[in-house]
Amino acid sequence: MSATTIAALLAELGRELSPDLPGRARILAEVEDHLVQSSERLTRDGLTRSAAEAEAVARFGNPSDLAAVFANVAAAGGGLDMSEPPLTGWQSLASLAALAAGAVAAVGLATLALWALLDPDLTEGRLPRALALLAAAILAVVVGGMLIMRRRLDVGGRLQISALGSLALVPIGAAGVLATLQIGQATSDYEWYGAAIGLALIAQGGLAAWLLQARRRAAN
Amino acid sequence: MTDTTGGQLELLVLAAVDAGASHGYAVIEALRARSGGAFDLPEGTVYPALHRLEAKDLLASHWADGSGRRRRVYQLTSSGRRALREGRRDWRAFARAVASVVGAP
Repeated sequence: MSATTIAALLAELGRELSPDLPGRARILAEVEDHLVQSSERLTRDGLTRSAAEAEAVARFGNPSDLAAVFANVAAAGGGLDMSEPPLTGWQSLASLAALAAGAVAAVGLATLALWALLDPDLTEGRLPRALALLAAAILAVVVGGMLIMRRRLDVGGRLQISALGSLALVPIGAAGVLATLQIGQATSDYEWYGAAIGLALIAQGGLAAWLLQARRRAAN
Repeated sequence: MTDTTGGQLELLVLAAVDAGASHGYAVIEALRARSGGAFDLPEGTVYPALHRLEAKDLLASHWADGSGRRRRVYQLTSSGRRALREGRRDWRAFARAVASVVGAP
């Protein structure tokens, strides 16, 4: 091992840890904090700053060995499952709200899609029939994909797919809302209905994306 | 990294956290101090052990902001307290058995 400074050890450890290792960012942050504490302690004990840093790095051990141990821990299934940090109170509320908004949007979209298919007069509405069908198709793919993959996905994976699916639907929801607001002249119940679903989709997409980000921050 | 704790690192880490060491540096300091320097491990050794224990739900951790730096702090879960009690009991039984064969110190 050639590192004699904290920065060099962290750089070496960063190179040695697999980019896919769960909790990689957290490991680097913990090691940095450890080295800084150790170095500060040694400085208080009378070493110069550079000598303290070199001693802290030497005491820490070889970063290649540490990276290998972490890789073994992960391979043995004993690594941290960073995708499933516990939900905080606010995150629980947000996920409930996202679920509620998603349920409203899903039922609404299913009804709208059926309506669009069965009612020939709807072609006169401002919200294109294709938009409703496209939204329903995306929702079906997301929900169907999650049902099929449910055994292979952890909570984080399901949340990620759900957030991405929701975000894909947001532009469609926004188009539905705009199509209605454009006018102040909604010409049919169908359009108002589309606008309400659009708002639910936007809310669900926003909440899901926030939740995903919050959990990533907690994991790292 | 060589384990000089005779395969007892996880039990030692649980005991150190139970005694109040809440982050990695404090754990390694506690191990060194309480063992009278016998467990002078490469300090990085403690982190895989902490992460393994958390993956087993014996420890829980979160980021805490203090002294201008974010620090990962650990605490025993209820499963961790139970595992520590059982580990202490097993260790005492093992030490008694060894002592009865090789002679008490």
